[in-house]
Amino acid sequence: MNLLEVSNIKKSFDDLHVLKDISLSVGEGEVVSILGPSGSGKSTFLRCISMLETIDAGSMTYCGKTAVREQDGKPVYVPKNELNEIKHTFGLVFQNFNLFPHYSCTEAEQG
Amino acid sequence: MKKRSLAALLSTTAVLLFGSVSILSASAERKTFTVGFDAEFPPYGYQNEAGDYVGFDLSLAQEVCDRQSWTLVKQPIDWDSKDMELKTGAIDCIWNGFTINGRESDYTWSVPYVDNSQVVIVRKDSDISELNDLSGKVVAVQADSSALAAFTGEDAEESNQQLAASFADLQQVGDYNSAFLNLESGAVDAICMDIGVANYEIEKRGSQFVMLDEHVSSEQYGIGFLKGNTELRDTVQETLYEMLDDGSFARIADEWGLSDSVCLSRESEAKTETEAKEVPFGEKLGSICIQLLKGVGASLAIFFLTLLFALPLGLLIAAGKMSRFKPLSWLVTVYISIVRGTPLMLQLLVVFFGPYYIFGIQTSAAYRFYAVIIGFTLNYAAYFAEIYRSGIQAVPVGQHEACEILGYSRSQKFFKIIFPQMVKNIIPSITNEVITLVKDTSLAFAISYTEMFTLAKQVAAAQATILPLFIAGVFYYIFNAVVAFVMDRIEKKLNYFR
Repeated sequence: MNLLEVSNIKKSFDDLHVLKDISLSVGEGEVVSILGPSGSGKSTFLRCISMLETIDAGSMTYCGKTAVREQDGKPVYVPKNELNEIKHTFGLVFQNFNLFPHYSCTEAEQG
Repeated sequence: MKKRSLAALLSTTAVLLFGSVSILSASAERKTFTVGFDAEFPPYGYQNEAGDYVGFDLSLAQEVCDRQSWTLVKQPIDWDSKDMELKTGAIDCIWNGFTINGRESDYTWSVPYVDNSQVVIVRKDSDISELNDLSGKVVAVQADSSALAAFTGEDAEESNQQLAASFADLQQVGDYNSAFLNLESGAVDAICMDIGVANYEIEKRGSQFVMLDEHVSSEQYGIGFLKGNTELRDTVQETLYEMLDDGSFARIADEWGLSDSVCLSRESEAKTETEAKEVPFGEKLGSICIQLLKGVGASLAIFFLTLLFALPLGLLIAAGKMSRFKPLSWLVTVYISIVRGTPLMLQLLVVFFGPYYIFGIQTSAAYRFYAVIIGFTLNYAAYFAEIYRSGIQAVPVGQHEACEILGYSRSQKFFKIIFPQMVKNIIPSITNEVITLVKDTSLAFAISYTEMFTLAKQVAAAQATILPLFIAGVFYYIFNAVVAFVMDRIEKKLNYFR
């Protein structure tokens, strides 16, 4: 089972089309690097698959659980509680860390 | 907030609301008699060294109450809100050197019981020796007093009106202590006031003041009841006649040195011969401190209760302002704008007198305290709301995103991550507001709630000294020093490594 499967994702900000039909799958034990020049959509892609942004088209599946599916040409997200379940399967390390300043390492880990 | 503490908060609020509604409803049979008086009007109504409210009028009232089996409630009031106090039912009558002349049709009056004159006090070294010398001078009168009416009222004599027109300024002050401070410092040249109080003040303050021989006007004192309240007036009046018949009235008048109630000026000759007693400074300081301590409790009550209610309420208001539901957000914005844009003193007046003047609901004396707390809470909650909002919006958006990734629920995110960081952000602003609150407690005087500063003013008036005001300042400073120290410790504790 693939850890991540995304198909035909599109993402635009108003008139700016950033992601134009991206598909990717990541298997267990795989390490995938995405390289590209500034403005090519690397951060946007990462934000879409970590669900900090919503996609305009396509589908995403995490460890076999579907988070977004295409329906009548529009992306439909599963209910919030299911999404929360899925969020527990991945994590994100931010460019500027975004650590909780009032927590110690242990507290942050437990929280 | 845990469900249990929310329920506790809601039920406490409900109890407070129901309790205050039951106090608002009038009682059927009279058990108390509330006398409204100016506590800085000796010897008719003032505060003695022991901190009790005493005076000729209060002694008379006490005698009447004893005979009627009523409990006397002495309610000091701001003289220029006396009508509002009477109309809303907070007091039953105005009994304090209350001049009938010029006000005949405004109240239901008792029979006159004291003959009085309006006289002029000047500094001994001034060049004023007769009324006409007041031309071009600054004259002080108490706000809404009959001295003011003697010069500018509808029924004022021609000559007085013309004289007043020639003054450089006719200034109104809240109380006679302020008037004398003004006179002493040279800010005003003369005070026009009742002869009985003038005699008392001159005796207390010493020979630096003199009274002009010419009187501005003659008048009589009576007890003022709410217009139409003839029943209560008649009961009190009957009792006064009984007292007159059996000699109690004369005895009380004699106790206060006002025996000749026909003309008070005769008493002053005997009085000015006695020397004012010199009290050692240390003893004076000690007795003033003790008197002021009574007010400290009231100030502290306002302070702690306001914080207790305003801090959480501010958070709710901030949430309302940041809400995505536009009508709520707009409503809250208007509320904050009005509360921050008008004086707190004005808001206190609205909260206290509003129920009567806007809704026609008669309030009682007990409502006074609730009005103070409600007014302060609504005011400070608005300021706190804006501080909370700034603190919340200052938390970096990355914190919100980290919570998203980790799958925090909205309340988990707020209480575990956002709220703690908000608290650290806002401590300096909150400290400012808390210190302001310590000093703002003195504004409660606007609705005659006696806290420490009002008490200091009354003591200053009774003992003819500014020492109480200075001591009050020291009390406030100490209080604020403690607050600043506590807030500083909290700030240090929150200084985790960033």
